[in-house]
Amino acid sequence: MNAEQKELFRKAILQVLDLNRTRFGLPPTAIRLHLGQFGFPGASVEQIREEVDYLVGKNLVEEVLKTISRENRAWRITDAGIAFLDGQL
Amino acid sequence: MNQRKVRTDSKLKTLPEERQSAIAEYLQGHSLADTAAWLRADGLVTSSAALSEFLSWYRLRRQFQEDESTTETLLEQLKAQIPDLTEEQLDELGQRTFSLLAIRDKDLSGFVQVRSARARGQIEKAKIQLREAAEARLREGLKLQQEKFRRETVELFVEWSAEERSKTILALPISNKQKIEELGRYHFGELWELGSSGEGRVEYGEK
Repeated sequence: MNAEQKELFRKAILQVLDLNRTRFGLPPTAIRLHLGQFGFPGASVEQIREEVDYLVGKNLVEEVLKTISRENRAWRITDAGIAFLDGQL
Repeated sequence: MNQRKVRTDSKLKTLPEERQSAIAEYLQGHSLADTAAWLRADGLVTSSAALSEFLSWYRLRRQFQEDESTTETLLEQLKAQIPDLTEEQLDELGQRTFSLLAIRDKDLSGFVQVRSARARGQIEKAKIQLREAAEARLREGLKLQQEKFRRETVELFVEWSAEERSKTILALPISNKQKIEELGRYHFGELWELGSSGEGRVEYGEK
């Protein structure tokens, strides 16, 4: 992926996470299932984890329950993430 | 449900929950164009594309809400049955349950997609097998033709070399090309001329 595609990919992840406004987070498998709607049907779980970590670093996404095992990680969008999408769309 | 900031990117997505629910319900029994017309009559101008996107968005968001509700109910029951569970343990169980629920509804469509992909793969495989079989038959046919060609060429050589006229032509002090032309005319007559001018082909064995 080039820089532009990566930006679109990150935005698509944010859009998926934006669909979930519950107190629980979405695991990478759930994110992957819904990424197709936003133009990334073939994303791998590893790619998603990598980009979600980047978004966490930017405070656009937060990890829920950091105590659970790495295989069962889950994330949700932050208010900053929602504001970011508001500015993008 | 988390009451964080609501997105403002869509008129439909910012309507009250009851209104959104009514639109989604109307969409169940009407086309996108009919629903757009119905909303327009009510003062809400939108497009079929926006309605389609709204419906996907609404269904998914509702699914997550329902998954959260199911998870909370389960956690309450667990807490009642196992009072020793800590909040942390309950949260972890809740997250694991929600994660499973978040992918279960899509499992079927994912399964269908995989099946479709598999079916497409099988069709492609069958096409390749058919093409390979056709190519194999073609190769076999060519091989047989080449064998026939070689056998007939040798037979002709044996036959012609015994003929006096052929021997005479071969002994002439002319080039090989001229000898071939002479032998061709002698053995094939008019057919040789037709073949040379491109108007017809000379079949081996024909005389």
